[in-house]
Order: sequence, then structure tokens, then C-alpha cells
Amino acid sequence: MDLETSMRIAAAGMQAQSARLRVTAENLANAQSTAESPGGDPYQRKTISFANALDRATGARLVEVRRYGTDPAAFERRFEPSHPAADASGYVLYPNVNPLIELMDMREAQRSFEANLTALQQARGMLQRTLDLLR
Amino acid sequence: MAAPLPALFQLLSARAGFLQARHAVLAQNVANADTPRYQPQDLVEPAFEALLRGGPGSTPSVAVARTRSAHLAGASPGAASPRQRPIEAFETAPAGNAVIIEEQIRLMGQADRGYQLATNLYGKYVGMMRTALGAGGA
Repeated sequence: MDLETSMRIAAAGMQAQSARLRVTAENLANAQSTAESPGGDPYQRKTISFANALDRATGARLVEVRRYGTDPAAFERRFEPSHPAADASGYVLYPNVNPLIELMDMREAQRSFEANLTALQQARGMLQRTLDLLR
Repeated sequence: MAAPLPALFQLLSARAGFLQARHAVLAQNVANADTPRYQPQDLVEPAFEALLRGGPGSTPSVAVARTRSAHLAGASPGAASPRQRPIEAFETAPAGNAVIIEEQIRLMGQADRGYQLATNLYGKYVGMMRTALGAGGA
């Protein structure tokens, strides 16, 4: 394993974290998306899970997105009889998205992204110093 | 002089090679900081002293000539790659991940500084060689 491998691993990490950020953004954007028809289900919160994958060319264990899932938590019920998606008893189901959790998740993804970026920059610096030996 | 310059060059490039591999392993830990059940890894530092003190691998390995293709090729002593070992975790997330990013960044900084030292020393020795050859300016 060399510095090129190091950079590839860090890039894979950044890719995984940006996928996570995208899922979080999707959840936040749909925090108020109710059903279109009366009594239907609203937007269900999405989750993301990572796994490490062996890169056979370099022997490194990269990170990749294993699967996108949905959060089975219960929807929020609110009494809003005038809402177009209200059921017969006047209740509307709202998505099981908690903006606070999403924001924390977003912050964490950002931090992990930065850590990977640091690794990438460091590997690049080391590579640069090797090249400087030629001068 | 304690050790001939070629041995020093060999030592420094072995050290740089080890630090590159270590950096890759640590980058792997950072990339997998959110992977469930991932245990962080590190590399066991080989004994670099042996390279200077005339231990195995201190002389350039010579390939064994083979008269038949069925003969075994001799193992070269310098080819062994450093062993991986798991980092002892003192904090594990509920999902079973034991990577602490701060610690990994610190270790990566350590590898980076070690690499800086190795490459700078290498450059200095190259300069000394050039001076000895009468091409070092001044």
C-alpha cells in the first residue's frame, strides 16, 4: 500500500460521506411532505448504511454505501381536518423526520468528510515531498 | 563513520515505504469511521535498526539463479510487508465501530512528520554524496 492507495481510500471516504449528506438533505427537504390523497402515508425517513469493501487491485479496504433503507419509526399524527391529506377522522400523518437529528447527522457527515480531506491533503503533501527529492 | 551511506539510503527508503503503508492503513480507518463493526488497524513497526547493524536485509538481496523452472525461487529477506495489528479501542459506538477520528488524525500526523524527516535526511545525504563527488557547489 502506498500513498496513491491512501488517496484512493480517502476519496472513497469522501464519496460515502457525501452520499450520507445527500440522504440527510433529502430527509430535511421532505420533513413536511404529507400524502397526496386523504389517509395516505407521508414521506418515510431514509437511512444510509456503510460497509467496507476490499479493493482487489490495491488490497485496501475502501468504504462504500451498503444500502439505503427506511426508518420504521411511527409517523406523527396531527389533527388538521382542513388539510387535503386528512383521513376521515380529521388526522394527517406527517413524516417521521426529526430536523434536530438530521442536522446533527449532517454535522457529523461534514466532520467525517473533513477528516478524509485531511488524510487526502496529507498524502498529497507526502507525495510532493518525495517528488521534491528530485530537485 | 558508523554505517556506509548506501545502508543509510536503504534504511531511509525502507522507513519511507513503511510510513507510506502506515498512512494508507490510517486513511482506511478514517474512511471507515462510520462503518458498522469496523475495528481500526495499525502497522507494527519493523526493526529498522537491523538494517544499520548488519542484520538480515542489511545487504541487498541477491536473487537465486534457477536452472529449472520447477526449482523454488529464494525468498528475498527485504520483501516482507509489515504486519497489521488492531488498535486497542477504548470507545466503541453502539454500531460496533471503534474508530476515534482525533486519534487517527494524530497518528497520521505522526506518520507525516516521520516521512518529512526521512525525506529530508535522504536529501541531505544525497547532498553529502554530491559534495564528496565534488559537484556540491561552494
